[in-house]
Amino acid sequence: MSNPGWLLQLSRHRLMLVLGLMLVAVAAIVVNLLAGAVTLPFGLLWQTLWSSVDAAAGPDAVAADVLWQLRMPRLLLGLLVGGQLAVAGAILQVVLRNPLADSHILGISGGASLLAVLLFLFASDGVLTVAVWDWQVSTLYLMPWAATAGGLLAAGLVFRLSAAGGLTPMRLVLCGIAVASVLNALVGGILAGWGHANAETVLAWLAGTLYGRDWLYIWALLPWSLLGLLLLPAMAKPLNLLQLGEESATSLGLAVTRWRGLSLVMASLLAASAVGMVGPVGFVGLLVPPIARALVGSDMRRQLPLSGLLGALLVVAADGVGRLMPGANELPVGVVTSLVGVPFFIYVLRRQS
Amino acid sequence: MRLSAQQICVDYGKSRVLDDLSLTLAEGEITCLLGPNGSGKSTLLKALSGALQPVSGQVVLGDRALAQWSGKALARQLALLPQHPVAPEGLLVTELVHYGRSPHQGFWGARSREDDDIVAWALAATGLEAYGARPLSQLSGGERQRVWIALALAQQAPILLLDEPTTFLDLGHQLEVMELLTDLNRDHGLTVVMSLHDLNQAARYAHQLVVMEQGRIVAHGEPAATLTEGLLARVFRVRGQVESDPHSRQLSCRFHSSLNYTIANENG
Repeated sequence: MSNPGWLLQLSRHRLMLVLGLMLVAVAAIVVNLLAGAVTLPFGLLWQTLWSSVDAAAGPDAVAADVLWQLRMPRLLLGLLVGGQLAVAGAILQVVLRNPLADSHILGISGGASLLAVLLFLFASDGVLTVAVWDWQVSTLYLMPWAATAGGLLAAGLVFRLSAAGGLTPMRLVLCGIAVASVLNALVGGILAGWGHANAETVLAWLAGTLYGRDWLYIWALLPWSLLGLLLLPAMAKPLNLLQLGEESATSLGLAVTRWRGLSLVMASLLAASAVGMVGPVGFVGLLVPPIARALVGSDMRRQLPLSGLLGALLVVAADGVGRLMPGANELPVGVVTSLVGVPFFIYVLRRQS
Repeated sequence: MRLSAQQICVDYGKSRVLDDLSLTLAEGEITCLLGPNGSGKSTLLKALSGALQPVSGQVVLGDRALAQWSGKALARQLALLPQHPVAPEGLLVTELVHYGRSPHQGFWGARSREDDDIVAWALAATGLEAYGARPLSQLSGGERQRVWIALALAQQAPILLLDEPTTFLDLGHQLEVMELLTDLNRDHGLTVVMSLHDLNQAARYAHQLVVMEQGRIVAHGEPAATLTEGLLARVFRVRGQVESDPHSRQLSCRFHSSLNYTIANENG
């Protein structure tokens, strides 16, 4: 970031809002670690955090287990997934010149869902038997990879279909919607026709859930998150110029088609890997970028990092709400992001005008 | 640096929009492109800026074809203001004008003190000093057009291409933009090339007129030698008179009627 003092350039009002949101983020993180089926008192949480990761050596073996095996990976995964989905949405909204763009529009969610559903279909009792080597693999461990691959394949198909027009926004959106519709129809059809045995698991996955996600998912997602962190600072300036339209961007020396392609690949990798871990969590990529824009303006050097932060906050807060909801089962995080996110989105839009 | 089109052809789909067109632009002068709708003015400007590749022929800047220039190096030599420029919502005037510095900046887009000075100069040159902290969306059409010109100035390119910079402005703002461009040409030696619809304004402010029809250049020269009654009738299908003021030697066109409409009515 070229201008680390950008926070200070914001008006007092917006600065307070941004800082307030960061406080909410910290509070959401703490509540997510404390609360649940077993409530960890704050003192115990603090002790457990700083004691050895080895469960038996801590002050309380159960607390250590709950914290390190259940809540911490779930929290971290929520942060990463939320950040990635929001940043992918911010990129797509610029490249596709469409405020309604997110990873659904490139078929990423549809592609990931289709492979996930197929995987569940061929597995029995959560175990997939690979006939050739007689391997038995838990679908839980295959799922993130298969779904990520499905999302990337779908995005690749959309790019292939739109390449003839030089990846123009209109063509990408039309091809993306067409591909997404076909994929979603396939998912619905397969689920209705053959899905009975695993329907419940599949439905939870399709709504987007952080339930039962352990460290394995973190390690699967982390390379993509790091790739994003590494490359995104270099994308802010080209994305700023792309916002001025093709002709102006070209006139300012930007290789428009190349940067459009790179941005789309970047957004697809971030979104597909996130969706692969938790299922198609809705609305994060759609809602967060306009909120970030309303807070810090259209300059992507501010909007990208703030989108990431807000996306992480939204998913973690929504997961907390879904987990702590009184009742027998927890609500999938995707359901809550929609329920919590949409009113906030409308509030921000109303304030803006 | 000299900019010229050498026998370029440009197609949109199957239709030919520029047909074997050659043109060398006068350095340090104001050239106006004139011609009816669809005669290829915008396309020529895009081809001259490198935004559009000709199917044959080449546009040459200095000693090389445009295709051999890197994007950034080219952007330091010529700036294009499109007919419908778009800016993201909420962008401030200074932020937009700063984007004009991007061809001079490194990969990360870091701002230098020099960039700040040049942006301040571009805002002053366009009379926008007081507008820097305002969002673009709060400006009038004329002010917004000046911001886009300031963006092109911040680019510090010696050649400025403008596609109908006055079309959506009222008369007062039209003259404001034309006089601003005249000043920039006189004070900073900018080569200005723009498409216009108003023949009187073109005659008044341009050093050179280029008249186009169906993708070709049909007349090119100083206004007094180019703008004739025959040209009005042939190219614009208008019956009119071209008069020269005896004192100021200023040209003015007076229009009487549309030839196409008259002929259609007589035949009907």
